[in-house]
Amino acid sequence: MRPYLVRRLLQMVPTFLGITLLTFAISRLAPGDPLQLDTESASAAGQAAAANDAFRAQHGLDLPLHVQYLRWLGKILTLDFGRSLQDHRPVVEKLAEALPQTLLLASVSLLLAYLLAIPIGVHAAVRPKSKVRRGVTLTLYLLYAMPTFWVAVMLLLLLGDFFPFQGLESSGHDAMSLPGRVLDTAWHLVLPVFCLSYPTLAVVSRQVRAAMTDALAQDYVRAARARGIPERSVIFKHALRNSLLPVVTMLGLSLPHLIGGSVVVERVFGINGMGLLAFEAISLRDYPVVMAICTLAALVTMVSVLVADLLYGLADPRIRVGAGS
Amino acid sequence: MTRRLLLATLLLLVACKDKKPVAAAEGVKPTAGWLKGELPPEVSSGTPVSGGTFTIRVPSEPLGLNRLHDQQVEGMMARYTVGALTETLAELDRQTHPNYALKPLLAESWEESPDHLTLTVKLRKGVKFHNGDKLTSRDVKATFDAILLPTNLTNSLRSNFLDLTVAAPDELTVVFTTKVAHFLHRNNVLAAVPILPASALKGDFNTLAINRAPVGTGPFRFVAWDTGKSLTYARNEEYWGTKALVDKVVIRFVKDETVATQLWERGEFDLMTRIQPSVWRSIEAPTAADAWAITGYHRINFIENYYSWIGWNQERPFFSDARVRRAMTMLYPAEKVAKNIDMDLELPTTCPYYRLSESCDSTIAPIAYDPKAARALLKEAGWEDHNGDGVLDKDGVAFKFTFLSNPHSVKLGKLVPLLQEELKKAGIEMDVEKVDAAQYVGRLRAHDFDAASLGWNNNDVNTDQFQVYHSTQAKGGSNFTSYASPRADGLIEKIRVTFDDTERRGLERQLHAVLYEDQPYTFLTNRPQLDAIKTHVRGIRPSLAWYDLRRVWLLPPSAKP
Amino acid sequence: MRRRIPLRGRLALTAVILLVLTAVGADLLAAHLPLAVRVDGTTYWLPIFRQPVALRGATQQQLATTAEWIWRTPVPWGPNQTFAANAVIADTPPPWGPDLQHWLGTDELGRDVLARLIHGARVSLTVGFLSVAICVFIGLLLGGLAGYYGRGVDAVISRITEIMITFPTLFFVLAVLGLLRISSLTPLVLVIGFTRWTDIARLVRAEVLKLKGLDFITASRALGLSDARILVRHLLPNALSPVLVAATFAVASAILIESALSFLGLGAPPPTASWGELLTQAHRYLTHPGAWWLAIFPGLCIAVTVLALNELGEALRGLLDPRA
Repeated sequence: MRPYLVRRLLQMVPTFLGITLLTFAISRLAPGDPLQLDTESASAAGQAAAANDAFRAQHGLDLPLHVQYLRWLGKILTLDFGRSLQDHRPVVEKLAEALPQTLLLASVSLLLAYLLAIPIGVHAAVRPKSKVRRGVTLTLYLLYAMPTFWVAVMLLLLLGDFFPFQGLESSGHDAMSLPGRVLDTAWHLVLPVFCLSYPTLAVVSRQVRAAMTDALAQDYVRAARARGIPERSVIFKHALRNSLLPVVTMLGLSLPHLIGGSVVVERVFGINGMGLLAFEAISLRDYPVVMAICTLAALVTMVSVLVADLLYGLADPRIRVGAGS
Repeated sequence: MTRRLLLATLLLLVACKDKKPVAAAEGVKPTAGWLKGELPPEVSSGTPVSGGTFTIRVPSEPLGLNRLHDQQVEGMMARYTVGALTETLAELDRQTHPNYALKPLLAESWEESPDHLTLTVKLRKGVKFHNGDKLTSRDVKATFDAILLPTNLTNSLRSNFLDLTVAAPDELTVVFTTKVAHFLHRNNVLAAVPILPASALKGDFNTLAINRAPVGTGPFRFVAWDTGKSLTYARNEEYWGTKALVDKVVIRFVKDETVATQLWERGEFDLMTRIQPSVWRSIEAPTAADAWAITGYHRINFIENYYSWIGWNQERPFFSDARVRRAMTMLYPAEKVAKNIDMDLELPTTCPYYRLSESCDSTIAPIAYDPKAARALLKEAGWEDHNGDGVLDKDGVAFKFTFLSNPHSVKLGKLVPLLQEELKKAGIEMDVEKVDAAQYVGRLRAHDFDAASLGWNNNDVNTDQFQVYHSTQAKGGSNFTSYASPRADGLIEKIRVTFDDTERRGLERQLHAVLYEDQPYTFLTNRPQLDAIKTHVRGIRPSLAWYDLRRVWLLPPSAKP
Repeated sequence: MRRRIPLRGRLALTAVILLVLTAVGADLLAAHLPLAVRVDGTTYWLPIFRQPVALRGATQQQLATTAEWIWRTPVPWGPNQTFAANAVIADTPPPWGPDLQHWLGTDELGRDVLARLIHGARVSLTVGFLSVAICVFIGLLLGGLAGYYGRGVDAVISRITEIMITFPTLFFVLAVLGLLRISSLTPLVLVIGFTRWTDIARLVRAEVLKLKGLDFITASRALGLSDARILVRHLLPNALSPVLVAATFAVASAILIESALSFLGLGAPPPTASWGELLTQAHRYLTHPGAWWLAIFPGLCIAVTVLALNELGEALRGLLDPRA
């Protein structure tokens, strides 16, 4: 186990370098100026060579690209992510503002999706012919084909009168009591969480159903039934436990979404999360922010892949990791 | 079966949403003034009382609150910081609209030398900054030094000052010396620069504390900036002048127009800015649901000193001939755009100056949409369909160009397909290139475009057209279209040194006429400020210098509006 | 043994074929010029393709008044025909709701929504199929090489695959769209193609690994066949079945991505009609005037297309998967 772990961790290094290098190269090679100016002012639009040069020099933008990359790499090893090129605030500050919103949204969506998917999947496997199951499966299947941003716009169109349009807080939020604030945020979360959770719900419930159907057809289940174990116990204690593994590993692979956020949902619902931050940073050529988000996303993804693989290997003796692969 | 049920429910919900205009409640009918966007006289009357929080919606959040910094000044930011938090030496006197004379503010008096090269300013005594510093000439000098330092990103202000030196001979006197006389120099020095404390300007200009927490001498103190949400000011109790009336000002950043409209409908703003033209019009024929707009709000329609334009790059073979440019203006479907996109709210213009000033020649009428005349002009310039392929050509070159679509403005983006269609009918092929916002201005500066569109804004009634229209500004200035006209150059240079207002305005009208003939841009429209204020807001009045937040007061909830 | 394609699969196939036909024949279904018209003694056949000079700038509506006879397209509007080209100026500005003239309404510039949906199909399907073609090519190449040669090559390609999976697509899109100053669909196709090949590569690698040890491969090698020959002639064709299934799903996914990018404003340049772009407008006109026709119809198109492609993929999987 240990050598496998070490090997995997070592493998993460070139991958990480590859991702950051690629991101760096692409974002720097793309034309455009990080110096965003007031486009309605004729005096601002004119060039100020000395100031622009000073700006470039101060942020090291005039150095050769490989030097810039190495400098950045050196800085992040000391956890210095630099300052935004737009408002010159520390990048970490901007991330700290955006991350909680995305985390909240994504974790609630994920939790909800999985909490609903498991019972739905189990029910579908246990009662394959039920009308309810057919209805639910059909709805999920149809929903899955609909693009998230369309569902978001349609929800606003139809339910915009009942639910808030934007953000995660109402105007008087800070003045409310604690339960008031929780309710307020929850109310704001309804529509965006729905948009983010239904694709996961569709996929995972299907997975659970397939895994459960497989598990229920196994010999040991038949044997357990023959031994007289109550059906309920058979389903939940035996079959479900064995079919949960792929689901848990899928959950592990969903971790990057907790950080990455969804640009589309955040745009439509006006949530200032990581997705929107990344999008704006790229649009404005805010390289430090872009690189920081990329680093974070890459690290989280790699760790989650590793964890998922480990879990799989741990539980399923047939897939012993490290041995003779 | 379930699918059909689903579809039916969907359609039902949608059908219910389709609001048909319902007869408005009894007695709710817009007055003529309300429709025009004029404030009723009662808004400026009454006995002011102190108190209340004034909430304003602005459409975008700035990157910082330091007016001096190029990256932070944008659109409305200068309007709600300068005058409120920080102050200039003199201010534009709103009472003298549309000429806007200068009124002393932080400066008690000033004296200009007869050759207009030296400006001696006497500062007011006893003025304190919000951080306790006393206002002295050192602060004025430090502010100007920060602007003039070539390595600071202060170009939007620095480009106004040609060869300026600032001296502070004593605590309350500042002497501004320039080597080049310029008619706007005095206004620029006195009214364009907010004075910041010298102590706060020390250090790296990009990471000053005042970029996030401004300090000034203004009637309001900065309290908090809730990033992404709002900005809060509180009344400055130690203000040197007449104290402001409202206790707090809250500026809310709501970028999305749909959301802003919804929040406005809920009555969350006292002052709602940048109302969408489509919304502005739709509330004029009120349904029961939006009769609130008439009973709860006064509307403000005030024409700004902003004009939008389509620029034809004169370095490209197509547009070097003024006749071609004129023909392009004739092919622009101005009336259709006005009716269907602008909803008759934007006013067509041909003048680069403020519409309501005397700098515009009012006898000049916009060039009418006339495809036939355009084709005749193009023929005159040598552009005809010689080879019968439906596209105009000259010397073997087909009239095919690329329009650089503006990513900053939804409206200017909408023009593109319309223009494309019109030009196609006339035998001109127009392709569209879309670049993102980070590249647009760079492309314009590099003159790397055939045609592009933008707009110029000015918070003052006086404009120096040098940067935009003088031939020397094609390199390094804002003359993106490389317009070069000796006549225009001569007029611009003369205007710069004409200090007599009447004489200068006469010259400006001449410049207007020259630009009209040459069509370096196709001038589009002046944009109006479309705002609304709750009926309990008083003391508010639109002007080019925006609203005077010192005068705003709120009728207490008990009193009848 | 011949397997029966279930009803769903057949429906899906029909739907996909219809969509392809719509995309290919968009100009015959909705155009600003008619299918045929006789004007001033001259007959013009399919003028939308021939672009005769005499009809330049004309529209079907204009020609209908002056022509001797006219054979209109089923939808008598072009996708780029704005309100400016129409003689009638209505009381309210566009977007206008569905009526007898515009069956599905118009967008903010008065362009017919149905016409734009039909031409949008062209954009979506082009981007979908072309980008997946690139995906399949890269996937076959890299997956085949990784599976066949193993060890070093496999390690390198696995790293590259990992990088591509972890790499945020959005960064790539924005940057590439900025780099390539080609104002067309090419950047979109390239970007989606170059970032989504990982699934197919993994699939191919697994298949090649499985088949590598079989006898007939050992025999081929013993016979002296070159590696390339073995790969291309023997191994890869066997991987094609699962690849085909994956590719079908990938087209659906690519169409979703394209519409999301168009929604964000990164799609095809104006005035190209795209389903995602119409949804951007829907978002803008959500309350005033509540343009539901801009929201429902484009979304339905995307959903139906994706559904049909997914169903087709499922049917193919049922057909080709030997385990089923």
